[in-house]
Amino acid sequence: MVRDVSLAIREGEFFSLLGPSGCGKTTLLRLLAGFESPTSGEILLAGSGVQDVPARRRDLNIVFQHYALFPHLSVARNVAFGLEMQKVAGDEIQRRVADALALVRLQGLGARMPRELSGGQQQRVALARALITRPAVLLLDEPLGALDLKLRREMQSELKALQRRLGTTFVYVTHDQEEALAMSDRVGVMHDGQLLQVGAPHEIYDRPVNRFVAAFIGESNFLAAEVTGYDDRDLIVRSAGESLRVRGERIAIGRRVTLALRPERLRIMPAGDSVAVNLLDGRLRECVYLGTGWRCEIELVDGSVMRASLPPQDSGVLSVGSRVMLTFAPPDVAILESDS
Amino acid sequence: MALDARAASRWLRLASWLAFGFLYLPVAVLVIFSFSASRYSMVWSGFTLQWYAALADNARVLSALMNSLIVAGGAMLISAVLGTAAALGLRRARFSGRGVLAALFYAPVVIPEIVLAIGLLMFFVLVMPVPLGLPSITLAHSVFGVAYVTIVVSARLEGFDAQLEEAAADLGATPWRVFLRVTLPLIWPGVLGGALLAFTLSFDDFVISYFVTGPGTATLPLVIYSMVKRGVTPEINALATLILLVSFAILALSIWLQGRNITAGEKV
Repeated sequence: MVRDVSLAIREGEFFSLLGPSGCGKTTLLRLLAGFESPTSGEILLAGSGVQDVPARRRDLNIVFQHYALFPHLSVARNVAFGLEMQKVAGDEIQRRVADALALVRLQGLGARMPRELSGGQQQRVALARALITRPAVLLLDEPLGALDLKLRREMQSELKALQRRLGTTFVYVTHDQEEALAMSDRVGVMHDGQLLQVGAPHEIYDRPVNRFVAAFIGESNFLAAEVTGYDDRDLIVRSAGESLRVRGERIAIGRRVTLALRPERLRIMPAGDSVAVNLLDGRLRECVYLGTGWRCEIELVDGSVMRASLPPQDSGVLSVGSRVMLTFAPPDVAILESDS
Repeated sequence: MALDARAASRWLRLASWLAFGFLYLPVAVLVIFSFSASRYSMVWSGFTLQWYAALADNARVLSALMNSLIVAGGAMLISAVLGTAAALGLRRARFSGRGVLAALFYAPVVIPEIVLAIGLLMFFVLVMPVPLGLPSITLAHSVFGVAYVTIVVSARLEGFDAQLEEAAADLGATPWRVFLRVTLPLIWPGVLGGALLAFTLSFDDFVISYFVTGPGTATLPLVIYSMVKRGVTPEINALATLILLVSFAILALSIWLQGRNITAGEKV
């Protein structure tokens, strides 16, 4: 189910549709591919409506999650399929199949059957098969979902490099937020059949539009707050008994909002130190060392728990049970509509 | 306990052998006596192949054999095409009566043959005037043949990954080419297996042929029946043995094809 989606994907960009399973991202992709028809609305490809054009005549190809390689055809015949359908001459097909296999680094494997290849290799065959007809848009439905983590990382950078080299528009469906942030020019976050936010990875991460996006992309601490005033640059809000300065557009005084704070943007200071703004009193509840840094839980006076990630050298204040102060800079907060 | 279990397993083995014997002893007797030199089918008096030789000179048997092959071949082709189409249609059907429709397709398998035979005869005489003879027998055999092909091809389609068809369409294949290049090659063992089954069933059929045949047209089982009326001869045993051999061969081929795993859109 997809509702009310209005989206313009730019030519040549790497666009990711990100969301938890069942959010409608695959349905949206299938609408673009032509496997499903919208009950209402329009789908434009390069300016012309394609919602009544069958999948075979849309200038876009799809890479399926489970590859969907034809099990009865060799790798070369799989890759050649699109060209054969276009009735391209035999010698040109051979040349382009060889090129396509080289593009995905599978030279010399054309004679194999799909089942003789590893998952990663099958993935590459699917990619070559979809790219060989040089479609305007390549749709990818969680193409790396079935691969193990290490291979996935490799394929991520390879895909990204491939996209840059070919300049083809990629529409990439994934539920892995790290993957989406790492690969995309822009990301569309979906939930419950709706497109919640579209933007560059840093916009999505730093300026989530609502609590779902803030929690789904990375991790966030949430604080309920009420607007009490503003000055030239900042809003003044009241939260957990403290007056805090946060950067953002003006909001009417008295409005209730939610503050979203990234763990890595929080800092911990010994109690009593009061050089900074935005101080929240708390007690250090737990600290674990992760190699790349520390992960701490701080219980605020109102009982809510905040998570903070600290660089490894910040171990001076970390005695569990002690009173500490949490602090953050005004621009490091995202102000969200309060949940109704 | 262990002793009981061993005794039970011994009984089980005995029961299995009995069941097996029950199935195949009559057939074995028939096969053995087809090689008996005696004119009377129930008396053994030395080994001979003369009855098989006699068959080759029996014009009536040979013409009936030809009829049977034409009928079985025709019924096989019709069944393969219609049954495959039905199985593909049933797979795509998404309406609520799908289960009922599927059951109706399988019905000719369980409807008593005599009922089907009478129904078909009335149909050919009253509704669709098909000449009684080879055309009517072929069409009649197609009725149950379609059911068997539908069942076998449907089973094959159970493991079929519909995404393969989407992938083909996405790459520019028309529906017809999707079918020829992707669907058919993958379900082919099922189609062939079902078709061979339809062939054997048609080749062996007596009841329906008996009802819907016309004057002067006889298939092999009909000829055997009329010969048997004048007593079972070793020649009939020889003929039955040959039919048995062909049926077994085709059945084995059909089973082998269905078990073969060249295919199927198994997800890897």
